[in-house]
Amino acid sequence: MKLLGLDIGSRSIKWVLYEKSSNSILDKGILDSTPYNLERIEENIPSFDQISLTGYGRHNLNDILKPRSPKIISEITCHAKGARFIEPEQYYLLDIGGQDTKFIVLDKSGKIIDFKLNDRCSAGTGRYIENMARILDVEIQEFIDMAVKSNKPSNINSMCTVFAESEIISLIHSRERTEDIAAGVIKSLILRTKALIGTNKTDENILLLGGLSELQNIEVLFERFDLRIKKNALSRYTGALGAALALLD
Amino acid sequence: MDNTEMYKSLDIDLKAHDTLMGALPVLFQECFLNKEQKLKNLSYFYSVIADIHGARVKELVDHKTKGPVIGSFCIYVPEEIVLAACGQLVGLCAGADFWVPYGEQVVPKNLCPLIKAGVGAKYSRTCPYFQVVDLLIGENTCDGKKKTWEIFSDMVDMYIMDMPNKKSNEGLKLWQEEVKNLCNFLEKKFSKSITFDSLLNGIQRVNAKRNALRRLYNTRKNSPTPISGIDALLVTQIGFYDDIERYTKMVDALAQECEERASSLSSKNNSKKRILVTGSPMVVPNWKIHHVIETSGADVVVEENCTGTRYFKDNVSIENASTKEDLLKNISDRYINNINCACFSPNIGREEDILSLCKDYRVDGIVYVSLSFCTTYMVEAERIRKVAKENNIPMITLESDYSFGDLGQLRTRIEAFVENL
Repeated sequence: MKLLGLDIGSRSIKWVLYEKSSNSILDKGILDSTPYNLERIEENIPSFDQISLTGYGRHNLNDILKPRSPKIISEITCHAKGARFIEPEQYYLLDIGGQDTKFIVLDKSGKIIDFKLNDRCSAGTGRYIENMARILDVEIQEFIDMAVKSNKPSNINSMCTVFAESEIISLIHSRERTEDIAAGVIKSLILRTKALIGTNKTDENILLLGGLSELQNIEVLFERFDLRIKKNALSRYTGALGAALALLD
Repeated sequence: MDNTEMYKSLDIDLKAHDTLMGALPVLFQECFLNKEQKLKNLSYFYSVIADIHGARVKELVDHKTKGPVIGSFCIYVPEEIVLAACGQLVGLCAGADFWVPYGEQVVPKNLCPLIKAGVGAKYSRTCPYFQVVDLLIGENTCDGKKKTWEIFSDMVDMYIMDMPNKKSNEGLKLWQEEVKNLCNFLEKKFSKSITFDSLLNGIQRVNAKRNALRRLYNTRKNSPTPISGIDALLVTQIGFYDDIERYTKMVDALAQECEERASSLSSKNNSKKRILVTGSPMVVPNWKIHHVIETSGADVVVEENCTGTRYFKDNVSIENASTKEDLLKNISDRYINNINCACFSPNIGREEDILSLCKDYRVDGIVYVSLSFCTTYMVEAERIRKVAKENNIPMITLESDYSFGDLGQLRTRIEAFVENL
């Protein structure tokens, strides 16, 4: 039986097709969360026997998917299930998504012991880095590459994405090096993440999930600011995978 | 019934008031009428909300020929004394997002929405309850309110009760004096003499209201609960401004129906998780958190807040009281000793209250809700979190205001919390 997990995120839609009989992932895919794609979601996903929805848009599905009576489950539970499948030894999960940041703690059995989310504002999320890269007029991977080269990260203090933007504009005008600004942005994101986690887990490996995990060298920057993270090729798909796995319950 | 003439006499901004009232039916439909509801005695409470700025306001206007109408923002203001002075006490409007931008014209944006909405309600002249009151009794609980009384005093007649910060003997003495002073002030201001008998009568009437609410809440200890959390919250909220005798009677009738329903439901299996909500007050029409929890597959079975158990916890004693002074002392004792507000430091009583409520109401998890910028409750969350953890009760902390912009984020947190209980 083919189980489809669909993770409708704020920036992108991820799907994973899972075969129940062989307990394996058959296929996966990703597309942007544009109004166009959301309206025609069924054109972009494979055929399935059962479907499960998670992510920010899980309650607002269109009229074509509704009659298939999907299971609806929060992304926190899904990330936990998906992460346990791909990395059974990881107890700390950090999902830096387009709109929010989640930190999830699992016990040995995979049960969620605790979870924390950032407040409603987007400071410290993927969207924050995206906006800051746009101000420096570079692509997001280039932004990370620049940050890696810096040995003197700028100080960015604002909690708010909009205020941080004006802070960065003043840094540009005061001729601060762009590498340092980029590194400063990442530093502020990591400090904010640490505040969310509530402790310095410097000696624990944290599994990074979400769009940020696909950036090369992001782990180097985390390490530089005392947070050890691990990535997995399926890091971005744990929500969708967990949704598919939830159909087994 | 057309209320326009009454509104005009109360100097209400009719146009803005229409906009405000236009939004309420939609919200009420979404939160109350779309769900399954089987209790026939709830219809009284639904009708009170449907006519929130109508019949009750008219009653209060009529009452003014007999005695004062007095407003308050806090359950520390003793209703017994107001009743003894032939007055009626109303909890003032401070729960709608509509008033927040008006409030922000006068007070800072980073203040709790309850204060901003309260100021906005008066400033915009769109709350008939605010327009009808002869006096507003403030209380020095949190810093935000303490300073806001100074702003209110330009718009409405104000009397302020001081509050201790610590539950000590000295604190109690201060409060006993404040209760006495309020009594003297009301007697003088409204030329009403407050006697032993009138005070005793006031105490008995408020105790009867508390008994009825307690009886209703007791039915929620059953599993499955006979009444949804959002309906129970609505009932408590209405207690703040309804006619006390009628209200007590209606709550009693509802409690009786809930008792009967609970015994007929008792054979049914309940798979729903049972939630205790605690934190900042939730005043009409703030139903947001209950709505999200109960549409995420869980039941709110009790509220440890000022619009929940704190409102009716423990009666004022009338035992061994032979003078007016004795009664005033008993009133002081009940308010200071038995209401555990986060404005006190330390506030151990609240930790004990939450633990015993969790036990009595068979709670599976705690949802701790602070209004944005409600410093006292936001900070106290950390202590409650520790206590909950020590007792193996799962807890989630939320912060929200009156706007609907964070509904998606709230739903994600609450669903995940309920899924993992």
